[in-house]
Amino acid sequence: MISAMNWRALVFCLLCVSAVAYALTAPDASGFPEPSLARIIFFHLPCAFVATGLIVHTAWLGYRYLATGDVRYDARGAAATELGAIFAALTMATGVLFSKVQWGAWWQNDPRQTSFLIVLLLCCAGVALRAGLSDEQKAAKASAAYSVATVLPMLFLIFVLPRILQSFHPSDTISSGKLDGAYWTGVLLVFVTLVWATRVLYKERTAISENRYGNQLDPDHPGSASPYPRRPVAVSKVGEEEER
Amino acid sequence: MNSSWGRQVRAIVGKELRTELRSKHGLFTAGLFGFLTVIAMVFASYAEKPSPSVAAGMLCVALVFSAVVTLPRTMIVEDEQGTFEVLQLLAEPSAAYFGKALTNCVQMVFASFVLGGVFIAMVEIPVARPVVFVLGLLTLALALAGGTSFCGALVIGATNRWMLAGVVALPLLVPVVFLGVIALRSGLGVGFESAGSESLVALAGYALVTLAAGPQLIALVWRND
Repeated sequence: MISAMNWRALVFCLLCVSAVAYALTAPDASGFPEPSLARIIFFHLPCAFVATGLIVHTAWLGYRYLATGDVRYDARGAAATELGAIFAALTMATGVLFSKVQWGAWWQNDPRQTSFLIVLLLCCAGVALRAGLSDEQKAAKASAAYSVATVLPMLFLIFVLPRILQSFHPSDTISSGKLDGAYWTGVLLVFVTLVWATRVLYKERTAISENRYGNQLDPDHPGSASPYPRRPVAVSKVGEEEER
Repeated sequence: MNSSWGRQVRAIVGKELRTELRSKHGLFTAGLFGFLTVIAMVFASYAEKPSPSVAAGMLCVALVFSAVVTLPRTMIVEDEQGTFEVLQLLAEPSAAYFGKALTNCVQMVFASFVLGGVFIAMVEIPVARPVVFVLGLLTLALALAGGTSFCGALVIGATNRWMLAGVVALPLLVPVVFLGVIALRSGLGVGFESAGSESLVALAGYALVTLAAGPQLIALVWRND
């Protein structure tokens, strides 16, 4: 008898295997200097999609936390912030690799590359802000406000800036039909796999944060209990000090 | 804006300006830091005159670093002196923040015009469109003050607050740098005037959004549950 969890693990493994197999067997992209290495797109594009989705999701969770004070939103926000930074870093890494193999240099000073680097820095700054404040409640509030404040600049950097400047980076490669239509299938397959993996990681990371909040997760009074996490306290025996 | 809120903002601005006039800490720090940056840039390019595009970029970078180094002080100093709780008792969080942000705007506008004037005089570049250049400096200073004040207010309570303020502010200010360079470049006669005007509008919008939304967000961050 296979449990529901094992079924999910099995489907996930099948997705991973089929995504890798599809990426390896897909036809070469003829419009590139190194047609076989254009397969980096299979991983690069879905990473960018997932990172963008997580950035918007973080801002929404930040807004919800500030509006309601429910620490569940903060726990999810912490998970989304970190995963967003990881996927932004993966997008950057695959983009730099693509730049090297296709255009001949690791860094092109291209508006799209530069703007996404700033998006990555904003994601990292969000993680740094949360880590920099030792008071859990202050960290939660500051991170929430920062994620709300940075979402518009990030969307500007992702969607607007590369389109108003002359960019080396193609923005319509697949939609304009420059790539084989099979690439769409590959990108979607990897995207689904990454979303699945992200969901699992997101749940795990949220559970860790929620454990830290402990008794504040009373469903009848969300966020109403002490905002401070329970920490182990050194307890001395009664009268011990007097004996000394 | 109700009258009580307005009075609180005026009181905070008055207190900040009096403190600044007494200590002159912010002006000296911003002025010296910006001036040294300008001197270093001019010295680095003494053999050849920088082009207006490069000069606009250099001036913009000098102003950004000057803002990031000095402006969070108005927020952080309350935490360091232990007067942050007292401030919250005397004024609503949004009014306290807005008053401090307005003080930062005044300080940054002053520093921008002084540094801009010194820089232009030292690199000897003619200002082809003075109105665009002056408005560029003004809107750039306001946008920098809005963004930096917000980040300074967020890091109150952090152990390494000065460094953290810079870390969270710099990526947020990159769009401002981008727009500021276009506006100042247009002011120095490079490119179309329309590009400069569009950048001025965008910079003013950024300043407006940060100064308007900042108090709302910071009120939620600073509130005591």
